[in-house]
Parts: sequence; C-alpha cells; structure tokens
Amino acid sequence: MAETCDEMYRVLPNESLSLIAQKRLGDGGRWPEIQALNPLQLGDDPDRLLAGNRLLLPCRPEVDHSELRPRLRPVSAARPATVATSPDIKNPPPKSAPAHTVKENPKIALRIVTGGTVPPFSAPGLPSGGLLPQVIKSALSQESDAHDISWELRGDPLSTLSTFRSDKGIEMALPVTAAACEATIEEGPCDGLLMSDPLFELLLLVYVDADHPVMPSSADLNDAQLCTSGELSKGIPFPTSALVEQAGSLETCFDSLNAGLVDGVIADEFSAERALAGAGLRHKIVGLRDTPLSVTTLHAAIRTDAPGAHALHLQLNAGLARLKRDGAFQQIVARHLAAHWAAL
Amino acid sequence: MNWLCICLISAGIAFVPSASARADVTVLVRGEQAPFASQDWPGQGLAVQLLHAALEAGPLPVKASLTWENDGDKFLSRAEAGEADLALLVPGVDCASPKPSTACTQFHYSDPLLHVVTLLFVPTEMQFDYSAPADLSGKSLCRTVGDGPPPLDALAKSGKVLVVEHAQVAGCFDMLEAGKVDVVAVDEFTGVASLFAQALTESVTPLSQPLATVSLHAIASKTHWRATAHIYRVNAGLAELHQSGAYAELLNQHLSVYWAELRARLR
Repeated sequence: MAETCDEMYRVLPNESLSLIAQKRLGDGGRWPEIQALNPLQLGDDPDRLLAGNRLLLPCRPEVDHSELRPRLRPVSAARPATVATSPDIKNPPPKSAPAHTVKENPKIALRIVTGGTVPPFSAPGLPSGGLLPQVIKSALSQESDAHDISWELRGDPLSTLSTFRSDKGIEMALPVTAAACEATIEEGPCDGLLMSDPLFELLLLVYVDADHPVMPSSADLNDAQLCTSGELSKGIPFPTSALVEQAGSLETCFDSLNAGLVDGVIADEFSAERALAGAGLRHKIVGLRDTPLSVTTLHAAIRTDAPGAHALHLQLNAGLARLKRDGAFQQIVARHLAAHWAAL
Repeated sequence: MNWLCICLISAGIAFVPSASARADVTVLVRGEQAPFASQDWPGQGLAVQLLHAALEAGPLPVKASLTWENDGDKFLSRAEAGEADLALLVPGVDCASPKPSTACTQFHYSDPLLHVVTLLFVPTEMQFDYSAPADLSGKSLCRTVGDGPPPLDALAKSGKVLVVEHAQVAGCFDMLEAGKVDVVAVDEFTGVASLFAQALTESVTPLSQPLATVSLHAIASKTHWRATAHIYRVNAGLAELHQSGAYAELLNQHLSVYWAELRARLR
C-alpha cells in the first residue's frame, strides 16, 4: 500500500489536532500519533497547538498493525561495521546472529550513539551504561524483544547530534536536550529528527561565587564573562552579550570561577554538582536556582530516514509510557540517582 | 458538611478540583493537617491551595492531582520512593548545619509555603513565666508525633524536658486537662482550633511568647526524574504569588474561613 511519509504541516488558526488528523490523514482519531511525533511543540498537552507551528505528520494512509513493528534491517553481513562500545560491561549485547539464521529469528539491528560522559545519564563504567541507556533498553523490550542493540560513545551530546545526522548507519542518539534543539532551530540540528517523550527533566544553571556581595540573577550576567564546557549545557542560549569561554572541562571552569577569572559557570545541575564535589567547592560556589537559564528535558532522537523510524518511535514511546505507568521507570531512575547522590 | 460549603462561598475562594483529567504533576499530601492540608477542610487546606496556585502561576504552568496519605510514617516512605512528583506538607530542616537531618539527603525542599509559630498552651490558672526554651526545664510537655520544632527536639534529647507524644493534638489537650502534662506545644492554628473544638477556651491559654517559628514546605524525592524542575516550578510560582499579591489574598481568604469555622463550632 502506497504511503506518504515525513510530511510537514503548518498549523492554521483555529485548527485542532483532530481536525488536522481528519484533513491530512483522513481519520480524526489519529491525532495522538501527531502528538507523539511532535513532543517539542506539544509536550503532553494537545491543546498547546499554536497557529504557525510546523508539525511532522505520520505516514498516510493508516499503517496496518504489523507496521507498528520496526522495519529496521535484520542483522546481516551487509550491516555497517560498528565499534561497539557496550555501556553494559557486565552484560554485553548478544553477538550478531549470522545471516543465514535471520529468517528463523530475525533480530533487528539498532545502533545507538551516546554522547559524552554525562553521569548519571550516560557514561562508560556506570551500571547498564547509565540511566538513559537502561531506560531505552527497558522501554524497547516492553513492546518486543527483537532488538540487537549496539552502543557507541562519541564526543559530547551536541557534536554527537551532528555526527549522528551524517552517519546513516545510526538509528538513534542520546541524550539530546530540548533546549539545544530549540535554541538552534534555524540551523536545524534537530530538524527532521523524531524525539522520544521526555526521559528526564533538569535545570541548566549559572553557578557563581557564594561569597559574592550581592547574589546576581542570571539576567544580571548579560555582560559577564562566563565559562562552560561540552556537557549538557552546550548549544543552549547564553545571555546575548556575555563572553562565553568554552573550556575543556567543568572542573577547569570552576577553578577559573574560584580564582576570580570568570563571573560564572554555565552547567547542568548534575554535571555541576559532581564537578563541585570533586573540587571540594560545593559550599563556595552555588547555582542560581531561582533563575535557571533553562528547564529542559532529555530525549532520545531517531533519524526520520532510518527504515521503520516512525514505528520505532511509536514503539519507544509506548514502552516508556508503560514503564512510567507500572512504576518501573521510577525504579530505574531511583537506582541511578541514589548512586549519583551517594557518590557526592 | 454543609456548613463548610457556606463558609467557603462566603469567603469567595475559587476552589481547585482535587483531581484533574489533565494533571501534569502528582502530589502526595499528608492529610489531617487542618487548616493547612485536610480533605475535610474548605479547599482542602491553605497549603494545598497555595501549591495549586503556585504551580499554575509559574513560568511553566502545570496542573496538580492529589493523593492523600494520613499516616505520617507511610507518607514519608511513599514520598521518598518517588510515588508522586511532589509531597506536601513537611516542616523545614536545616540542611546547611554541620550535621544535617537525613531528610536532606532524601529530599529537595521548596521555598517555604508558610511560616507558622509553635505556641505553648498551659492551664489558664497556671503561673508560667516563659521567655526561652530553657524555661521549660523540669516540665512535662505533649506534642503530636514527629512534630519538632528543633528547639524542643534539642531539649528532649538533653533530658531536661519530658516530652510525651500523642497521635492527635486533642489527645495532648486531654492530658493537659487531666494534669498529666504541664504544657502542650503545637502550631497556633491547630492549637486554637482544637481549643474551640474541645470547648477548652476558658481553661487553657496560649502563652504570648512562641516556642519557635516553623516553615512548611513541599518536597521532592532526590531520586525522582523531575525533582529539581518541579521544585523550581513551585518556587517560581510562589515568588509570582508574593509579587502579585495573590499570596496575601489567598492567606486572608483562608484566615476568614478559619475564623468562620471556629465561630461555627462555638454556636
């Protein structure tokens, strides 16, 4: 059956999701699929629809039930070679099945790239590779046990996105911050990618000297000299006139702040707390929690041009919803965060 | 509970439904803390109303749905397990002290939703000159289970004050009436309401000098995936409520309800 996929639609005044679903898909009841494909524009609220929004539409006509199973290629000799850095050292993924067994038990190859060392979210050496890889694995296994996942580690989260976009052999990348996507929407680092439902929500903060005579707010730092590094804060909007130095690590930034060489450090709260604890500066340097630069969410991104991308996206979100519903999601998160806080 | 509805309408408070079909945030509420948080209180209590208002007034408005837990111990364990996004209502702790409470490792605390004073209630005929916690030495005192405040915790640990705990404040006042304790320590709202409810307004009197000021907070488990973001939502919303005057308005409305209820109990 012929399908039209990846169609973008600009919302007109007074349109609702169900109306759009009726007009473009021929079935008003398919509005949840549109919502699922556009988490950045709509989040959990279909009423957040604004005229002028550009929405990605699902394939039409309606896919049959079998379409809900990903159509990613089966493991075969034709699969691009990967340097699999399994985050789960104790439980590496099963070896690829030889091509001649595919017909009997087709495993679906899925290459996922994780960006940077961002504990507790993803980092080599963390149990299961970190909070996010474990959530993704658990969510996908909720719906089907047919994936053969290989994990790769590359650079920081933002540069991961650019390499991800240029390497058609990779289907999924994480973590991707909604703030980075929204900040550079014109350049489109996330354009055309399918974002999972939120995996985590956190604050991006400016850290300053606690002994500063008058505690500034983030808005006071317009002309300040700031420091950041390639953690989750990369790619988010900085105060427009601030001079932002990109350092090799957050530890370097905090050393500079402690020495009075910069006015503030931009970082996500988890990376910052870890770096401050390591440097023994937790009581000397504080985050401006009343005025965060951003309250952002972390997502997994799926290439829209990967075979079966929309089905994989639906499967991932359905698995996430099930994990959240039955409490397993919170249990996974709690295990990782408890270890994170205990280490501080 | 028709009389409650009359009070409610007369006070003009816009009450938020207890559950919302579009709830974005789940809140575990420790109940039986009237007038701050109680299913039987107009608007389900002042703190509940403030939380609803704060979550909707902030830069990232969300709606809340409530789950109630009246057992204090179960409330804390459920809150720590992250069963809900936020939990309400707990006394503040000093996490900056050299030996902070274990709660500091378990929870993020919001900015204070309310400050309340803990008063000492004594028999009216009793001559008791009180100016500082040290004046309680040698006395026996009743408080409700798990309720500090910190100065009293310190005195109890030192053994200088015999502290008796009761599950309900009414039980403490019964003990005071029976001469089994010298003093009852409880927040002013709960204490005065209990005096009216038990018809003790003649025989028991609050001392003018408070024992302590206690802040009341919302908390989020540090192991929850949206903990700091939700605490920010509460804090930003509270700041907005203070700035706009909505906080004072809500407080005044609830105080009207509170006194109306006391008057109703007298009739």
